[in-house]
Amino acid sequence: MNGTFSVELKTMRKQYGDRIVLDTGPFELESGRSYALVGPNGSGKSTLLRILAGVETATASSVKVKGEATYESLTVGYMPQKSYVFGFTVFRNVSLALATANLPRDEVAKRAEQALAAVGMEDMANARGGGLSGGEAQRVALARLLVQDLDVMLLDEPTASMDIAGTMLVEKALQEYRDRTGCMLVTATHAPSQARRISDAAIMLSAGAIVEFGETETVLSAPTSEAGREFLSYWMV
Amino acid sequence: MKKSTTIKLLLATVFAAMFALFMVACSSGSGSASSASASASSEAASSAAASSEAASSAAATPANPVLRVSTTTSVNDSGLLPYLQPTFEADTGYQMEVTSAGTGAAIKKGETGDADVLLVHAKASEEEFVNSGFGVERIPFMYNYFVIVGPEDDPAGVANCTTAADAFKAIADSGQTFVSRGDDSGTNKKELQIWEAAGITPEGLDWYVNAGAGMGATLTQAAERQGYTLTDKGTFLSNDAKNSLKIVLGEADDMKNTYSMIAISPEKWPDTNIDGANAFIEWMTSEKASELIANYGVEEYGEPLFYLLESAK
Amino acid sequence: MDELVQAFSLLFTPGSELSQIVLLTLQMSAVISTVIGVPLGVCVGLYRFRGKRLIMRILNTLMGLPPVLAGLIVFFILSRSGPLGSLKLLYTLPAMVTAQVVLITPIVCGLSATAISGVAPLVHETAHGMGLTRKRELLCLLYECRSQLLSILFVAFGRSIGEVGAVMLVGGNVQYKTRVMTTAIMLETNMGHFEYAVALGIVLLVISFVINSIALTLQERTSGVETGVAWNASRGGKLGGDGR
Repeated sequence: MNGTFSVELKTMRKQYGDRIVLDTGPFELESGRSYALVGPNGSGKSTLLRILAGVETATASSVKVKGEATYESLTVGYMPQKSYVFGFTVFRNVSLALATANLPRDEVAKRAEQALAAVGMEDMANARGGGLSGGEAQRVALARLLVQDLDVMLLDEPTASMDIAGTMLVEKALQEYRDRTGCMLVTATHAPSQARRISDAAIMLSAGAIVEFGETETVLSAPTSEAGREFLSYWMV
Repeated sequence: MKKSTTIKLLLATVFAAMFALFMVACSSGSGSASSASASASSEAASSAAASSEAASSAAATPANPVLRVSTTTSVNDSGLLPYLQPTFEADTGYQMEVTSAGTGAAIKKGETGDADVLLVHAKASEEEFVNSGFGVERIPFMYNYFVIVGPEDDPAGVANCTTAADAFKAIADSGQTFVSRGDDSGTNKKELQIWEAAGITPEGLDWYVNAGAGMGATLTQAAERQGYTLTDKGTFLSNDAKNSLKIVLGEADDMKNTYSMIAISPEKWPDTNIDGANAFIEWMTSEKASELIANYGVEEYGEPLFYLLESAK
Repeated sequence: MDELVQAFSLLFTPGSELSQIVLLTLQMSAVISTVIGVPLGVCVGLYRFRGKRLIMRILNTLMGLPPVLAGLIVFFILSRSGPLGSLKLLYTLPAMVTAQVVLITPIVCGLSATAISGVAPLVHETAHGMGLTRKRELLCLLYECRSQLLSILFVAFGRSIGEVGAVMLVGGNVQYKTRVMTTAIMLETNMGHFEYAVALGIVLLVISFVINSIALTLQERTSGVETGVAWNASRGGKLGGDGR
């Protein structure tokens, strides 16, 4: 755990051959804040998260952390769009996330139970990973992050397969987690309503470029770009 | 653009090849069908004539042109049948389908009706086969000698022996490796007779390797192990084993190897090609074939591989 | 029928030729092939490197390697005039095992590479996102592929007991020493003992059936309900993996 910090992304570019999927100008993200990453499909949300998570390498990037830490020293948790739960028990899935933390066994168990309770999966602790529904798998994937002490939490459409009740429960759990740990939260979502509920600031991507960046309410109610207005117009109907 | 034309060309070639194969299959199929039934259409008959024309220009096509010859590996592997085949087919109009196996299996194919004529070399089994009604008659027509082959330096001293039984005794006494075919073939049967004559039961002894294989594989194994084995001369001379083994005993009186032909009895298997079998036997004992057989191998090995029996001439 | 009864009674007679043949058949090379092939396959399936496509292509070609050719290669290496001729290994059990390992390892390797590469991208992003070490990620990956890997082991086993060309060439079908079920069947067929050959074939099939039943039971035990889901996941992983 690092104290307060901010991540400055000067450039971040990803291309496959001639096709540019992401090319952003400079922007800065601060710890303790929650960011919503909005934009249509294919706008580069997932690619941005994957590069930040380190599962993908950028074609060119310059990332600086202000403060004492470097980006490599930050503990970054990432929840992919497709949640995969290992075939062993749900409980083992969650406690495995603490494997490197060197905690005593009962402490691990306690934390895992708390994390599972936070996402409403405490009754399924002994279920096997393979048999879960899409929504359940997403909750387990989230619990695997909530159980850790993270500096940065990157979530790619974390509630896409959940019902309303699950979504609300998970959003509350995320809010509590951020209040408790002061981590930075970046959530990709295609729903402006969810962005309003969970984020302080919003980043809107279109065709790989950042078209809007600012307070969530400002971005969503008074977009300044053509692309931003077009994206939001579908939600106004 | 270039890539796609290449692919098209490739596809065209493949299709052409498949089409050609298909045509061949069709023409040979209709050929035999038309000759089997009298009511065949004139078109099929003409295609049959065309296909037989390709096979032979001299002889007329017999009613059933396919002759199934079941023979032993020694006849086939020595190259004798492939050597005789084109002349036989041109003279008689039959097409030979040769299958070769150990004598045991070769005779069995006669019992199961999978052959029209046998060309084998195991007297006792042959007589049993004819006596139980499967064969018409046993016609011995040629012979050669089994030989004992062994390492160049002949550690068992077989070269000093005069009979095969003495030679086997010498091998057993010296404890040198002996590789047996162990496959119930004519050669294997002959070998077991020699052991019996020598008064030795080699089965299970340390130096006695039961290879359970054909002559070629057995020779290879004998060469690799630098051991002795009993073989027919023809197969040995045409095998690479001759580079590391030599004939240590040949042409002893107890190593004569007589080949016979047996036509399969149509009483047991009515659909057997008895006319073809008789034509084969007649041709094989003809003056022309005798000359071919007597000359076979002379050019390549400096001596004939098979000799004709006086009675057959 | 008599032959079948004879074959089975011989099978359970200790010290008979057939029971020795069966033992020889069973101590074949599946295990060695798996021990070599799976780690190689995991490496090929897991890492992206230069020439991986070429290696996969070579592996796929070798998976179809004709047994006789594998046998011939080993034969040449072990023969008297070959580079390892002085070891005098030709026509021995180790020679047969070597030929089979040459034959089966590419199959094990190729199959496990395919199985691994199916789930690997998904497991990688999940494990990385959770902050797992590389070692733990690998263990998780193997765990996820366990039922496929078990199947591969039994494919290898089936190949090794059913194969005839290579063992015939390098083993030599020597009675009491290198004669196995398949070469014994070949021999009996060549000797014209067709019924006994078929009886031996049935014995081989029964052995294979028993072993496969054990395998299937094991597989159900280890995988439980998620076999189907694991398969789904591996397909999804492939689709997802191509997109990046």
